[in-house]
Amino acid sequence: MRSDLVKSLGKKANMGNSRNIGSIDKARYTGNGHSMHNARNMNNAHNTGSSSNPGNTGNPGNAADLGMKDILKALGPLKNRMHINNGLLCLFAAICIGGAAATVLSYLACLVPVPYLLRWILWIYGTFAVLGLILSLFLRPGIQSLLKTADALGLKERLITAWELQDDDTGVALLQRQDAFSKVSGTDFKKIYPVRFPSKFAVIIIVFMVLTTVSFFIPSRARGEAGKIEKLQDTVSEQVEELEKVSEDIKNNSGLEEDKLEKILEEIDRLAGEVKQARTEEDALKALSRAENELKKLDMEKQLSKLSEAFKQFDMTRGLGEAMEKDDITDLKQALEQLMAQVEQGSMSPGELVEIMKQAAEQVDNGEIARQLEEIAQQLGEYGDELKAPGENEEQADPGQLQATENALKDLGDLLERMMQSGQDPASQQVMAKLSQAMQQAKSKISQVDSSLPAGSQGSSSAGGGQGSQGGRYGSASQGGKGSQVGQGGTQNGDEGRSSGSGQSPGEGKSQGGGQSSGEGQHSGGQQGGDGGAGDGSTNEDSGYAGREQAGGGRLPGEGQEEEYEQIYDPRRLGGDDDPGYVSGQKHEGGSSSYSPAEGIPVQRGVMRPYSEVLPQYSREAASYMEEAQIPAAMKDIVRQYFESLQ
Amino acid sequence: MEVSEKQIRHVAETVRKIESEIAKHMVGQKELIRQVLLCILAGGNALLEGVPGLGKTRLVNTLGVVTGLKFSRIQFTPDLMPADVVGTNIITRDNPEGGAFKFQPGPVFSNIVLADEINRATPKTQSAMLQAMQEKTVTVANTTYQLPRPFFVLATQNPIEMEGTYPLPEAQLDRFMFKLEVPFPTLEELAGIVIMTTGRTQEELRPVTNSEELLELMEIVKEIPVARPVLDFALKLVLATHPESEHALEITRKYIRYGASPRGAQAIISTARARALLEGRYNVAFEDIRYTAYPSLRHRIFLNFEGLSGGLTADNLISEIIEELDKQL
Repeated sequence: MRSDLVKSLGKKANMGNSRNIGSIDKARYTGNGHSMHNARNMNNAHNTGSSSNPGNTGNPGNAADLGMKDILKALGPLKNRMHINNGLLCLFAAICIGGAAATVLSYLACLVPVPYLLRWILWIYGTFAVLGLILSLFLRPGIQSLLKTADALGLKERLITAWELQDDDTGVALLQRQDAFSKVSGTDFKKIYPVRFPSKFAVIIIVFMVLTTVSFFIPSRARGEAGKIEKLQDTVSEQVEELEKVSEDIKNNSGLEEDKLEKILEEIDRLAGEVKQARTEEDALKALSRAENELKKLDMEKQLSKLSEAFKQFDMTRGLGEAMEKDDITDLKQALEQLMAQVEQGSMSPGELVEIMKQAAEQVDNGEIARQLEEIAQQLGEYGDELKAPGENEEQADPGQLQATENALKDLGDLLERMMQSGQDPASQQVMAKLSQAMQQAKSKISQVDSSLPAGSQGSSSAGGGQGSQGGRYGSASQGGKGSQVGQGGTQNGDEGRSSGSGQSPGEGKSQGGGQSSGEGQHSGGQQGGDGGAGDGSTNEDSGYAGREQAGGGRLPGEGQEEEYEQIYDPRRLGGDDDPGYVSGQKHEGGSSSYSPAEGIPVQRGVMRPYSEVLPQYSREAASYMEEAQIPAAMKDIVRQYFESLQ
Repeated sequence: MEVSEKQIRHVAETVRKIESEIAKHMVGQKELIRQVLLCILAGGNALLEGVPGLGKTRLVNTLGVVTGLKFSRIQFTPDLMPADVVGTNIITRDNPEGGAFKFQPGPVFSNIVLADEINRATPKTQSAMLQAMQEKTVTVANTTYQLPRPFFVLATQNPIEMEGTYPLPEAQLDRFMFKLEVPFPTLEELAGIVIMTTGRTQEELRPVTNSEELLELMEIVKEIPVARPVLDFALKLVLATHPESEHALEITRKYIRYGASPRGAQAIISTARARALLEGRYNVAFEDIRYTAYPSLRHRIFLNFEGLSGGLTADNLISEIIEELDKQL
């Protein structure tokens, strides 16, 4: 294009237009003004093929060589300053938005519980600041914006014009570019375009911060609740960490069989996950309870104990049960031999054994053991149809039948022997003790988080069931029944051996739940006083969801807040002094009908009672009934789980 | 046309010389002189409005001498006829065979025509100037005559003496590139005027340019580039004076009856180029537009009754519009 211009100039010169032609005085910008050179300079420059883009020098050569790039390069300092200003503005604007959001959140937290509010606020500020910072990196001013700003700073549209004429090589365009470059080079942008601190945004941010701070001083129930949730979640996290530590410890030092270890660890991981997800204290404690129950299923000694209890219920297998209780394999073998002898003598039929095995299978929690017991029952029952009740048949039993019975009893012996050996395994005991201790500790810690929770959520557990002591490395908490019931907690002191600890929790009257327990437990007598209700567990072996309060500490008057619960229909109070009820019906002329008030008939309208009042009572009654009635253990579990879910 | 820095500098130098020479006979009024020169460089006509005695006629007279152009003066009166302005055909007996019509050019056949007190002539006579002002030609008896180049009409009018005057019609006003308001001199200036005009000696004026040079300067001015945003600014300014335009402001809709014609935009840009050059720039800036907008538009904006009764002037509205457009930059 430049050569075209030169040609054009030359052509015009030849045409005699001497005033205009070739007369682009090749001005050279020297930094101090314009110095004029004759046309030869420019022509020489072109002839020698000098670059049209001086580029790397702020002092371009001929005017014809001066391009927009030189001008833009000269505008570099201004561009940097604009970028800094844009960045600051963006950063502060982002923080300002974050401040607004944080302020809204802080006031919202006065209405609804927002745990870890301060952390959230800091997170919001931090996030918006980082976003602003990142965004500011992309806010480098564009060329148009740069030129416009520079023009507005006193360059009087020289740059916009130069930009538009950048492809124009006419004389005026070259002069215009030169003029623009000259002005840009002579301008001190540091003076006329300082880096500006966005003070307006800063003030707004400070205002938001002050408002946020003020919100912390506004008394709010929601904030208190949020604090409790925070504490709970912290505790849950702590306890989960503890569980994980225990898990790690077990993994490294247990000496358990690999399969069993893996199973336990998997179970622990799964349960820890459940506990982590708990959002409320109740959820956490329920999850822990479930975890504890699940782990208990893995505890062979427990299963052995349950099986022993099951066998002891029957006269024929009482010896077997006692041998198991003594944990003596020799006695066990003898008991089995006696059992076989009874079968051989006909004093006991295999059919009865089948029933016993089936019931025993129902008693144990461990699915594998239950399955094996059922198999034994099935093995015994192969001749079930031919079996006869004792006394009905005086004849000797069928040899095949005897053989089958013998095999079955042998299998049973093997199973029980394995269970006893496994139960006696110190490594296994140690692991279970550790886990149990960790669980108990977690429950205890979590239950201590919010001792002032509403009674409604505590009522079910504040019943008079005492919690057994826990001592040493392996303590199984126990819980008494209702009222003044003696709870027995099996405790174990030391690494080996079993000892029994007993806890007594009279549970006298409301909020009078004093308790005693002996034994060397960490929780010395975790009895819970309450209003005379039952605890969650109905047997000594059940360490259900209990221990919500400190040992012996019933809810004191005025302690905590009574939360409002929905009123539920309670048909319990039937009879009494209220209006009599009537049987609905329709009177027809054709027939005869009569009615008369029937006093004492329990068809009285119900009354509305608070949930918190009803639930512990129902729970207590259910527990009481389960103790009195012969109910399969599995069913008891279902009932207990049902009431746990209601809490 | 290729222009050089030397040529461009020559324009500024020539104008400086003209101003300097005029200053020998004119005390003060520098801004007015500059605006008249801008108008001349842009090839337009100027209407000078001011109370009597402010030196309007003197300025034009002086300008005629300094520029070395052919100068004529027409004193507009109610009985002035169009033929008195443009000329007429007269019968001559130069031909021995008989008489013949010969066109006798009027005073309009000059480079600078001073139409003194133009609003005193009847509309008919005023209209005689229309063709000359716009097309630089006059038509008499079906014959069109080219006026000498350059051709400028510099008219004056008295804004306070309305009796026996005929306000210029819109078409006539629109043909003036600038309407310049001649301000009353300051104390210093007044003293200078009195001393200069009442003394014995007066400096002699000398022409500092000629018609050819002036035409060249006018061509150079046309080369000054205008960036699109600057052009848009001027166009929006003109459009904003139209109440029915989408660019109209609230104040425009409220107080303006008619807005400026496209000649207004032409006037702004043409004179802005000249101003940029005289300011030492090779491009038109927003400030040039702001500067030339007032004399270019004030006679092209017609206020409605509310505007007039509210005491508003076209300059007030132009200020408002410029302020609003500046916010949009």
